[in-house]
Amino acid sequence: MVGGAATLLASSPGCKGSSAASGLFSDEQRTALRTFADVVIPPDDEPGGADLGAVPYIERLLTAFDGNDTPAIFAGGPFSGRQPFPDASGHASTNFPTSDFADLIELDRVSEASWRLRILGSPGLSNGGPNQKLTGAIASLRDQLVSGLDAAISSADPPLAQQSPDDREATFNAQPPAFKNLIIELVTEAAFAAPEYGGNIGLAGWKMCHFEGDSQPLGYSQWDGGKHVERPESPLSTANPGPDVAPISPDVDQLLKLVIAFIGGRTA
Amino acid sequence: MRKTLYGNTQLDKFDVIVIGSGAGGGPIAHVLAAAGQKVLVLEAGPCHFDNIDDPAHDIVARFSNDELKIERRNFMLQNENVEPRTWRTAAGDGPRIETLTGNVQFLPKTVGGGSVHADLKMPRFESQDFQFGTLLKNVQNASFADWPVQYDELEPFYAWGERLLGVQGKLGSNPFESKRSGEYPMPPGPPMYGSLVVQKGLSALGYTMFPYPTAVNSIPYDGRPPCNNCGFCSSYGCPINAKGSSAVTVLRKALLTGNCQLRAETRVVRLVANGSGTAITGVETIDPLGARVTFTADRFVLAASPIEDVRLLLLSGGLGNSSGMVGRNLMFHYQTIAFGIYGERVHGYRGRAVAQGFADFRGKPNDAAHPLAGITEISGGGLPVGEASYYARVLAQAKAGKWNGKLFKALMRESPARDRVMLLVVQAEDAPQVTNIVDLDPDYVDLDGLPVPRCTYKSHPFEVANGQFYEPKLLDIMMKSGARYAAITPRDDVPSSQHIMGTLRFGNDPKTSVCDKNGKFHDIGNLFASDGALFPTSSGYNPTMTIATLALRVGAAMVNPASPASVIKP
Ligand SMILES: Cc1cc2nc3c(=O)[nH]c(=O)nc-3n(C[C@H](O)[C@H](O)[C@H](O)COP(=O)(O)OP(=O)(O)OC[C@H]3O[C@@H](n4cnc5c(N)ncnc54)[C@H](O)[C@@H]3O)c2cc1C
Ligand code: SF4
Repeated sequence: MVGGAATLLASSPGCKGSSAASGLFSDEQRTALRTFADVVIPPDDEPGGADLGAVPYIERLLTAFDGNDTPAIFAGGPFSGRQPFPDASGHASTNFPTSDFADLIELDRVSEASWRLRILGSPGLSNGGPNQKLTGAIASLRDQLVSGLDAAISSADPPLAQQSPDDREATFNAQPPAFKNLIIELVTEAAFAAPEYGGNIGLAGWKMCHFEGDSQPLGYSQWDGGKHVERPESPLSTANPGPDVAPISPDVDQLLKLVIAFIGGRTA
Repeated sequence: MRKTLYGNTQLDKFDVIVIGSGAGGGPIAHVLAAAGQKVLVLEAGPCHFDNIDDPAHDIVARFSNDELKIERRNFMLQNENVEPRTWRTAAGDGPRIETLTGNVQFLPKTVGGGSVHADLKMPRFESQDFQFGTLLKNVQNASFADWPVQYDELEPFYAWGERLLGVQGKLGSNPFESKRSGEYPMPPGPPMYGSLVVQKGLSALGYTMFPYPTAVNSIPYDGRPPCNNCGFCSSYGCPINAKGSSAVTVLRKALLTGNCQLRAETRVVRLVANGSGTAITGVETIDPLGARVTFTADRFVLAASPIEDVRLLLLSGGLGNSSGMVGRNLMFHYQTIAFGIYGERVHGYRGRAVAQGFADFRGKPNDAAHPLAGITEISGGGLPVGEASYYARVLAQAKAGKWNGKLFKALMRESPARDRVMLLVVQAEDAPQVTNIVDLDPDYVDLDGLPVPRCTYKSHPFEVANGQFYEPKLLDIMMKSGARYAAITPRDDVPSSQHIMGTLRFGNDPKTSVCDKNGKFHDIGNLFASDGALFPTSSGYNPTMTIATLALRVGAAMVNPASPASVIKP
């Protein structure tokens, strides 16, 4: 007899094979989302949250259960194809693996139920989730975003499009903390996670924070048959070559001192 | 169709069923299968190791340097919205502390268990650690107990485990380590730059840094490649199988004997006992599609980790509990974490999470000048998605909830909390207490409608005082090594250590312990435990080498009760 999740998994609302971008947000909501993504990570000489791909990232996540394809929750492994294999002498070769990240991994029964509950809320599971009687119905990620965006749009005066960057930050800061935190979480995931999830366009998020990204199969030390050798530009056991790419600025120094004083630490 | 059945798929009669395939389950499956027993391993989590049972091909792991998949999307963890755990400090809190219902001491859920997630720092315990019943009798409201096996008896099993899992290290480099019968199977791998920076402070203050014993290949070993220090190690499965998890070492060996079958995504939900509860006759499971299926065998091994072992006994009507000790003496290491932020980029995110450590803060029993705490890991910072969340929390607190995008971007570029930070993590002895207990939550259930585990846990003044003793010394080290800013990380109320021990303590007296010296339940003739649940005390060293060692010994005693050591393979 087959029971459990086979019967627990209700069909997704809006499960009509809709394409990633269609039907999820109105144009106005999508524009507001881009605006807030740029509040979280403001554009300057490098891209902001919007151009780092916040909207495609969020749309990809929220439509994971639309259609019959493997939900885009877990990218495959082990390699992305961005880094080469080492050669026999331990140096980077010109031989790159194929991209396994592009092959999505199927969800097991429990993970699927969990992600349906998160993305689709209680309607995503036929019993509404295991503890609905105790916790009440769980709102879908979609509803949390859409209702939060609508509330922000209607409260913005003048409309977001007419506001300066500073005013937009103030409008964002006036939103309820739960909505703000959700936007910050999703925008920063988009900016700094692997690009296969839809964000970090052109690896610009990793470039911005001076992060090399996924390092396999090269890694930071390579076996040459007798010892480990290291990448001169990104060494493991010695200091980085060259000057600091972005030394600590006075604003960051001030913040760190504040935090350290608050938790009773020490400053040199 | 997902693959969930591995090894000898034709087997349908089993001598032994092992519940859980992690650090405790893998080694015992190996010992038993190698001795010709027909073994069924039942694992609740999925299998991410292609070819794990194929002798003709290397294993291809589906893990990757993917922060989102592993850290945010729970690729190989329980999911708190459908498998919650609850927590409270004491019965007086009511059924639970409501707001913290969720991911309490999360369950690593995958073939290989937590040995896949761990960066596998694998030191042995010291010989004193097995004697605290005698040495620490006077600590009020604590239940320290001697172990029924002592270091000398375990030493050959430690050495066997180190060979099987592949542990790197340097004999004699930790001045406090107990006598070893030989060198580590592999030399230490390359150090991380950040550890060498911290070493300046350690040396100035007279402490001894040493290469951390770790089950990670530093050279080609046992058909697996050397670690390339990819930087995505703790919490991440190894994409190249350089990490000696249970899955790629002992479990694979067991599967290749032809005597072992592994069923992934198959969760045991009940032990079926005879009428008197003195023998187990079978286990009821929920299979990958959600159907209930029962398996039978002659003997059964609990290796589902301490919290789930107890849950299973309670879901089965409260078996094995004539002592009243089932679920009691739950322990986690009491962690004190200091961070130092440097002016230079020490790039601690490169490498295998922890390459060096020191044991000067392990201490001695009853020595006020050196109170008992634990080994200290020298660890690098995290990765950018986590880093961003950290800054978001800091900004929210420092700026009264107001977001400041420009400052956030500056933080990400300048990276104080990733590229410039090093951590000192003390894994301190946690006094066992009978009031720290796992039971079933009276209300919350999981996806399948089964009550979830509830942990009632509060730290003892013993570890709190010992931790506080070392806090200023940790800051001294950071500042002497050149840190610009240093502090002790504020503690969460829910203990954050992933070292889970106790709940089925073993001992010689059936009135005060659940299992005997060989891991067999005093009350149940054919049920054994082979994981950290057996620990009577926690030590102040990472537990997993000792978990694997005990699992090998429990398996060896099942094969040859008169002489477990005779089962050890050179
Ligand atoms: C991120 C991280 C880093 C760590 N680093 C270290 C380290 O460096 N050094 C160290 O010593 N320790 C470390 N640990 C802890 C280490 O992982 C554990 O000590 C060890 O894995 C515990 O072994 P175990 O066999 O008790 O449980 P696990 O290894 O967790 O295995 C239990 C298995 O049982 C399965 N299971 C549970 N319930 C059931 C059921 N009902 N039916 C079937 N299967 C079930 C689970 O899915 C799991 O796979 C770390 C842990 C984590 C999460
Ligand atoms: S650091 Fe080494 S052992 Fe750890 S995941 Fe990377 S390659 Fe594997």
